[in-house]
Amino acid sequence: MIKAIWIAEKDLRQFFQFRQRFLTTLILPVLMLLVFSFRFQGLPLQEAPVAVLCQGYSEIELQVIERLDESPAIKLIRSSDISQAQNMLSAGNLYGIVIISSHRDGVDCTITVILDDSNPILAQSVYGAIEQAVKDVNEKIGGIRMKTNFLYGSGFNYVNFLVPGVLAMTAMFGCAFQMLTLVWERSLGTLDRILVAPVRPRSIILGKTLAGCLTGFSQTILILILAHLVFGTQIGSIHLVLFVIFLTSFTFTGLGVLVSGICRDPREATAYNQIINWPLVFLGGVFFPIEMMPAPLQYISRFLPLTYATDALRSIMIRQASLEIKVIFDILVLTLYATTTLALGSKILLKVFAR
Amino acid sequence: MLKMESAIETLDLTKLFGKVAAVHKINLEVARGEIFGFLGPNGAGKTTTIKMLCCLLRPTEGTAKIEGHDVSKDPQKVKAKIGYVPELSNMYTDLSARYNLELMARLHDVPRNLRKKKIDELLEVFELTGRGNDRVSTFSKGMQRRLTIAAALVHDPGILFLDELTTGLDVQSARKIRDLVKELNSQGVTVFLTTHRIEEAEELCGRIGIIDFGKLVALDTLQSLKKSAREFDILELVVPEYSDLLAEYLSQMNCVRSVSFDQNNNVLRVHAVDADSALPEIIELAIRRNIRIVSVCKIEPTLEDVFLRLTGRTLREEEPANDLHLLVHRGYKP
Repeated sequence: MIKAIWIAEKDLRQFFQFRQRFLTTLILPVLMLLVFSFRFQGLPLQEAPVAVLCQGYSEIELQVIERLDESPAIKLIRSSDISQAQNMLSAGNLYGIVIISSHRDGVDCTITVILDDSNPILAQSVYGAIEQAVKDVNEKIGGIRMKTNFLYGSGFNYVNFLVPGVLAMTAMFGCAFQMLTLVWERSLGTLDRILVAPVRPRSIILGKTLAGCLTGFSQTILILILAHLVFGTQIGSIHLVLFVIFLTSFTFTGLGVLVSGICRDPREATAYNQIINWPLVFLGGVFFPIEMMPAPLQYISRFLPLTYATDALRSIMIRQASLEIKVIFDILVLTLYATTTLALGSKILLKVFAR
Repeated sequence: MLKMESAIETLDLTKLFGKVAAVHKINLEVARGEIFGFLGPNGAGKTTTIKMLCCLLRPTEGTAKIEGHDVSKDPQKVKAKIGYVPELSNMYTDLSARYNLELMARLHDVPRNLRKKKIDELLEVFELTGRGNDRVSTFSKGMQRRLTIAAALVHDPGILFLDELTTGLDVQSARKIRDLVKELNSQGVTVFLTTHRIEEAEELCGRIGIIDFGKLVALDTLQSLKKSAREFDILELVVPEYSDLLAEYLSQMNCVRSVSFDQNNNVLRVHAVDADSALPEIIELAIRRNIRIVSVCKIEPTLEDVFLRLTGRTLREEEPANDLHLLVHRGYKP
């Protein structure tokens, strides 16, 4: 019985020896606390751009507009051009459009709300704020009817919001695992086998990167097909989706190469992977929009590659966008990440190969 | 007439790990078709040297050339000409034997139409034919070793680097593999091997370099090294009983330096300058004087003795006391 304790002690020694591994087990819960706590404490949406169009200047309309203006969740933009507003909504520059059309009797009016449901959680919040404002006016004056239209017809569908993020996440985890093999080969000695053959070191890195991309890519495609068949998720432009997924795989393979170059031990590499990957998932807008995170976290999120991958996929898949500015920007950032990490990682690895 | 390049040539080859010199200014030259041995205890720097010659480690100082190609400047050309068998078998254990060999063939530019034939050939030579499609993880240690050696031969290299070739192998397998090396050498393959087993060095190598603490302490043919080991040869004559006559006459021979008698074994031990010329004289004497000699044995110095003389230590760290005891018993004064 006491011997069980000696074995446990040995395991504990090994566990605490790798400080990184110990840290990773802490990172996850800390992150979850940080990120989820504000979510359910209901950190309110701030300054969501919403356009308002109205035809007349009746009392009721003015009241509604005033009330909406007062709402801290909404940044009201007055507009008179419906098509311009709709374009802005499609481009993601507006989160909602409020159209106030008063009835001929000047007393009642109908408010039509058009929401961008590519981000259902955001849309929910915007809707909530608008609904509150309308309710307030209704209590005082009455006679307002509200209609809601969804731009993409999927409603407050969380799955649609989730899928693009999950795809980006799958690409990330898929690649990370493959790049681990490089560290394994280093420690097992099989890397020597390849190094002693007349192979250019760059070819070795390229080969590993290719395998990494393909594993991440193939796994993600499977999830994509699953999501489409089971949840009916829209795919949008299939070429763009595939391209972005491949680019994401490439980006995280680059990261994997960097980690492989630094680590000598597979356990160390696994730990590093975890430390990098999980924060990316939570801060990258996979589970809920970054617009609803506290400002400092939002700021960090802007520097993370996964954020841009998720954003691009959401634009392409839910908003059915093609190569618009926002998407191009996302793609450029991803490309920058991919090339930088790959270049840096290669440099380190090449030094390792020629010790 | 153009002088043919040596197969291997090093000039002040040095490797520093931090401040420690694992290999210090090694100068050697191996001609084509030779079997050259690097002998030394564990940790002497043998593996480090071989890795530098195979372009796996970068020399800190000095140069090494394989058939004229510098290991630092033209590693790709060097790698195309060499085969390397590391100390620990490093096959991909989760893949099949055949695939491992196929991968090596591909990476070594073996023409596609020759690959299958070569792989089949190698599997047969190394007695692995039936197991070609099995995962290497199912192989015994000896089989994995054989496969590792086969993998180094896929591209018919002109130079083989063998690091502790028979480590972990049983006597029979070790012997078979040594025979194989001899066979390959007879076909013209240059062999550079490291070992800490004396019998292996003695059996295979033409010239031997003795390395200790990263430095080359001796480099010569086997015979020359042995000659340098002891000032005198030792002859052991087993006699039925002590013969005054024989002992006296032996002492008076010019080439004999000392004679001693081991009562327990009835052995007359003779230290002579040159046993080869002393021996016929002794036999002639015995026949003339009708002295019975049961057997004669020439104790040749071993590389152990060479190493001991050069470094003051024995190669076999496990039994240092024993060896010294033996030597002292034989009347040898270090």
